[in-house]
Amino acid sequence: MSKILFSSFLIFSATFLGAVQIPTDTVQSRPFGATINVNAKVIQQKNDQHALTSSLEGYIEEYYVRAGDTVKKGSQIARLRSVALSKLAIDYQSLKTQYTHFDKNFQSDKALYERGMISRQEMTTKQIERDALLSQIKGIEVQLKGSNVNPTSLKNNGNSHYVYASASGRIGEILEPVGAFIKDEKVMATIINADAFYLQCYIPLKYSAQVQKGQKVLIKNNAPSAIYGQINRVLPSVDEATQRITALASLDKSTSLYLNQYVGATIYTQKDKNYLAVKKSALTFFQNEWVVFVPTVAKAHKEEKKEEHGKHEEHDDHEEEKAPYEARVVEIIAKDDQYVAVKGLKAGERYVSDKSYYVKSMLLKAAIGEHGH
Amino acid sequence: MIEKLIDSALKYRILVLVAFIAIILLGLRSYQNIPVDAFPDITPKQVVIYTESPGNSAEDIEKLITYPIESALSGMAGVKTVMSNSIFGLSYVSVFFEDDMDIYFLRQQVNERLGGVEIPQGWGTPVLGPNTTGLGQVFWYQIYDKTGRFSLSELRQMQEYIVAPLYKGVAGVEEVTGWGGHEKQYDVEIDTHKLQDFGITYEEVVQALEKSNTAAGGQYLEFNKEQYLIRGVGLYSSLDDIRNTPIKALKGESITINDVADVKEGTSPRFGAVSIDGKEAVMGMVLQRTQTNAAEVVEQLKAKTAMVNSTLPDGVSVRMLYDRTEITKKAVETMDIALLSGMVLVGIVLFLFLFELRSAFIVILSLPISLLIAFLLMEYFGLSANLMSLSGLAIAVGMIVDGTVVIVENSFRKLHDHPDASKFEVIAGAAKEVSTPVTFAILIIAIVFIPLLSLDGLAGKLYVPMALNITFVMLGSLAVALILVPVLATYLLKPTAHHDNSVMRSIKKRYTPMLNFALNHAKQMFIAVSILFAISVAFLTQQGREFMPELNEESIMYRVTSIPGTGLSQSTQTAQEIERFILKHHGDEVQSVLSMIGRSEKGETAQANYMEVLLILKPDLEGYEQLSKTIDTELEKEFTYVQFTPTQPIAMRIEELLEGVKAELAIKVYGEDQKILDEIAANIQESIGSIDGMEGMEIESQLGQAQIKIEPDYQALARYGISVDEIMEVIRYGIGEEPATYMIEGVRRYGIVPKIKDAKIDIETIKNIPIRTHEGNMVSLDEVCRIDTVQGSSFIKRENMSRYLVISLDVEGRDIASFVKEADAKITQSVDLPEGYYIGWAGDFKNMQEATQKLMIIIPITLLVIILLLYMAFNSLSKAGLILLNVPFGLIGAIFALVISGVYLSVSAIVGFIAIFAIAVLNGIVLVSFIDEMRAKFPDVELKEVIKNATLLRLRPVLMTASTALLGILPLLFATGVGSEIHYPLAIVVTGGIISSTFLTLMILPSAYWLFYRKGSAVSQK
Repeated sequence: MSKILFSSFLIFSATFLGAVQIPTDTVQSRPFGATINVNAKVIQQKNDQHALTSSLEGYIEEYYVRAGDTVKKGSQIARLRSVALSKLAIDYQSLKTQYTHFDKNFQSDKALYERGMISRQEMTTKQIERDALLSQIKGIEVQLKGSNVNPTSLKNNGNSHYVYASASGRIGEILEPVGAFIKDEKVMATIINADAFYLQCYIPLKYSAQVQKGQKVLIKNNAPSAIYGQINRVLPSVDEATQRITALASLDKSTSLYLNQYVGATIYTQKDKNYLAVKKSALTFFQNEWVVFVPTVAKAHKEEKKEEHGKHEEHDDHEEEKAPYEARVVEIIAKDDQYVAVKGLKAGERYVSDKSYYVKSMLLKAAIGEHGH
Repeated sequence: MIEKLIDSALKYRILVLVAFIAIILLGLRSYQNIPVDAFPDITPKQVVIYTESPGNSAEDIEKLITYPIESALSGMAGVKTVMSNSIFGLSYVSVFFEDDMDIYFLRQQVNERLGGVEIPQGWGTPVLGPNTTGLGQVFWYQIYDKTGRFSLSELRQMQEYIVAPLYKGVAGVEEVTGWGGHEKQYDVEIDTHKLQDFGITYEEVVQALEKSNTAAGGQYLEFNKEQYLIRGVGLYSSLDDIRNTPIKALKGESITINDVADVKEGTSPRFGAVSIDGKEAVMGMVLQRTQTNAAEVVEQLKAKTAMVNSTLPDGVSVRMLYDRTEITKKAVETMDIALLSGMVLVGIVLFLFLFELRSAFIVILSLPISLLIAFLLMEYFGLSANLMSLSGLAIAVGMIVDGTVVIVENSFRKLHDHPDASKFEVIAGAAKEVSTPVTFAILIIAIVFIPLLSLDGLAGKLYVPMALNITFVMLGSLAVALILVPVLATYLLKPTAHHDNSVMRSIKKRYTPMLNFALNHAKQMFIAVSILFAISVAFLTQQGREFMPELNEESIMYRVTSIPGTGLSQSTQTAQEIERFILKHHGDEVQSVLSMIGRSEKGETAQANYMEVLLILKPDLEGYEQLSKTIDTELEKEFTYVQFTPTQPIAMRIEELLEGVKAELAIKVYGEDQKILDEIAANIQESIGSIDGMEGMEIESQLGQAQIKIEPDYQALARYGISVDEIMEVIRYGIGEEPATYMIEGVRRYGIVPKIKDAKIDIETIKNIPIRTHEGNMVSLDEVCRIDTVQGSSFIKRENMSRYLVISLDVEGRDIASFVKEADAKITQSVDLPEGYYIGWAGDFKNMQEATQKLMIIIPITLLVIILLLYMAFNSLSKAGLILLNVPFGLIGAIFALVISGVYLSVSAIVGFIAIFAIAVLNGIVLVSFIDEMRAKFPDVELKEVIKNATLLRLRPVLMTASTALLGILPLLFATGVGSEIHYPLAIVVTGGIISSTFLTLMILPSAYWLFYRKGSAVSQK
């Protein structure tokens, strides 16, 4: 029996002196929040998109841009051959000519009137007729201006109509092919405001309680620098197709993102709660439970003593007989990248923060028996 | 008949000489040809079936693979035991058969039975293990890269596709197994988010891979009278082929593997690693086929190595790590030295006794000739030269000459007595005169060992070759004595003036008063010896027992075990730390340290927490026993978190063969529930822990394996329309990295593995693996499965369909038999076994027990046979009894020698006792037959006087046979080489036995004779 005692003494003294240093740390309270990895889609709110329409109907003759081109407001997008415009131009020209002639007559009539050769009534009628003609011209001018056509530049045969960018941004998609006839309310293409991307996050239902407005989102894509966002809104209904909660997040920038692109995203839920936590590397699965190893009182006490007395050591066999570490069963409450929040340990308690494998080995060996000594 | 034989031999003298020259030449040829090995092949008749089932747990493997195989095989004819071990990723079933069955027949039978075993699709195919023995690992080598240019994966490919096939071509090589390095595979790392983006399920990716990698033959086209073969060449040939595999078309655009996954070269999950001197390495092991000659195989392997090296890239070569024939050479060397020195010693003593060069020459010549005859017979019966069989010759060396000595001595004496008679006739007469006792004496020696042939099991395999060889050599010596010796005598012997030399005279002078005293105090002497015998028997019952002394292989090796569930990377790290530690502290003695971690490619049941560390010592290192002890202690002190068990390469394999228990003594606890087995083991530990001699106890921890259990939640699965099969597919391929298909590059095949990206970072990432349903719903794995961490079985062992757990015991300072007796009583008394649970003892001890039981039958039979022979020789039961009295005389010395030297009673020692039977009986015959002869010649002389004179006359032959026998065995007693420790107990017993037997024969037997026959003697009545 004395031999066995002696051999156990050998094991444990080697624990302190042996090759493996077992680091310890103290249990501390830490704020915890979960990170949720989700799939997300880059979207845009409709009010951040501009529909390009032509104010005139006609056949599309040419586009000056391609999808993806960046455009400034007012830059030329397309040319249309517009029958309506031709008609307007002809009308405008004829009315203008009419008016010129009319105005000449009117001026001569006015001279006549001033000499009293024409009645006032007759003169008034002429004026009304002239004003009507002018307003007709003005009307067409307004109409042309509205379609970005300068009435002064109109030629007789000028039926080409130009469509200009209504906003700055990037051309999203060209919806009508060249040669197509479009009516005046039809959308030819879209301009996307690239600075106004949103992220639609699809979040598994199990996180429903954790996702809230204001939480930080990190996009994982191959962008040179990280893109962060913030949850603006959690939509009230789940996405029917995928059975996921959808949350919208605004982004701080959108370089290298594309509309409708799927990306992986990490949502950081609020660190609103504090838990007692240990390093993840302290955890080990031992006899069907998650455990954290803590130095036994004797060992802790001894360490203090060691610190006090420097290198002087006193061996007390009864003390040595106890294993220097014990396994403390813990319940895992929360986790983040480095720490786990656990129940079952006290604040400030020392625990084995790393190399728990070696401690486990020693404990299991001790339980098996002092083999091989 | 014997007399006729002698006559004919003398008549055809020239023919006899020619015949013996032929025998000598043939014997020499046999000596060259006999397969040489360190040990007899002790492997039980065993067929191993292993089923690789990657990624599956012990529990499932037991249920789905091991059990069906076991039940199919357990009903076979000749099956002794079916043992199995189900571990993570492997089912290992080992069927032990009766030893007399043919291994090829058995393998065929097993194969047929396996055909009927149903194992679920995807769970692996049972394969027969290599047809090799426990000693089959004859050659270990490293694929050594001097330049450091090649990755472990490349080295492994060299091993698998260049070196192994070349070595497999060597005759006698059954298998070449690789160990270590990484196996190349092609990873298709699937980004699950992208699956969602494209609306693809995981299953579709797997199917796309499977379907896109096919080839087809399109027969041929006849065009312009010629044949054009048509081939569909659809097998992958590059990474881009995999990348471009279409999964499905979406709006006219095809979605390829490249869209959803990264395709790159990777390595497959592994179960073993090799490290040499702190660096990971790749090694190979050559397994020798059963019934082939290890030395020859290794020689051919070595010869082929130059060729193998030439096919390897520059800077890479095959480096030998371990060569089993080296120990073979050493062992045979030990035995050769013992034999030779025995011969020399016997020659010297013969010369001293005979003091005549010519007769000594004849006797000494008979030694090598008898041995060569034995070699001839060995070759004929297919016996290999090894430690055990050669020891038979070494034991017999001293007895070989007995017959020759008697014939030569008699001829010599007769020639001296009748110097004028025809030499031819004198010698013929002298030879015939002693031919019957010589024949009987030699037959007795041979016959005493014959019952040993009935030993079975391990003891049989070890000692039958020895017994056979003794028989062979004794028969050889009989032939030499009866045929060759008379012929040689006619040519060589000459009548000389004196035949009693000074040595003999001085011995006789001292012996005569002692004999007188003994004859005068016959009764007292007899009683004293009886008491002595009783005391020695009492001592013997107290003597410790063991099966066999440990063979010293002159190598240092450790089995290192860390806690169950230890990862391979941790084990590798531990092994490398051990290697560096040893090299740092013992760099002067140790050349290299090799660690084999986990298991090799093919069917071994070790897990990642198990390592074998072999120290390759510098050549010609002295004092390694001390070194071994020092390293033991240092390692235990430095690496407290693992267990070290010192072992040796061959010993380790032998231990493994002993019913799967790697310990000298073990308790097997049988029963179904592993938890209950664990509890019982703990109770046993408590109850026997304090028994005297208990040095250590190790309970096999079968339950230490942490598992992440993924259990389908059927309701949740139904909700999303996912089948269990789909989930299991994700687990098997996506997490478990099982290849969905293979990239075939020439003859090399590499798995293409559709694994899920970042799935195996921690438990959370496994829980969060997204699964896309056919409807497009996305769920994570833990939404449709219960995922828990539990403690499960790390392995499940079964014997004859019943699970069991092993408690290994380390008993020191006490013999195992008495320990078992005490421990067994304690367990019966204090451990309560539930219904269906029982215990059994196993390990080396069991072999000893079996051997002892058998010997308890063999020894009485031997005695009976001796009595019969003696009765035949003397035609008197009382004479036979008188001679048998000599046996206790021998035993007294043998037992005292054993007790004084502190050597345990082992099978080896028991064989020594049997040899003592023969020697003692021989001594008795020599004396008693001569006294009888003298009594017949001088019927009127007083019995005591007759006995005294006869004994004095017979002093020389008795001393001669005794001392030759003694000197023959002496080299074994003082041998130090490999294998010497095995025969040490035998040598001790024989030495002690010969001394006491000779002394007591000369002192007590005459007195006993007088006590037996004084009443019947006419003279004494007067």
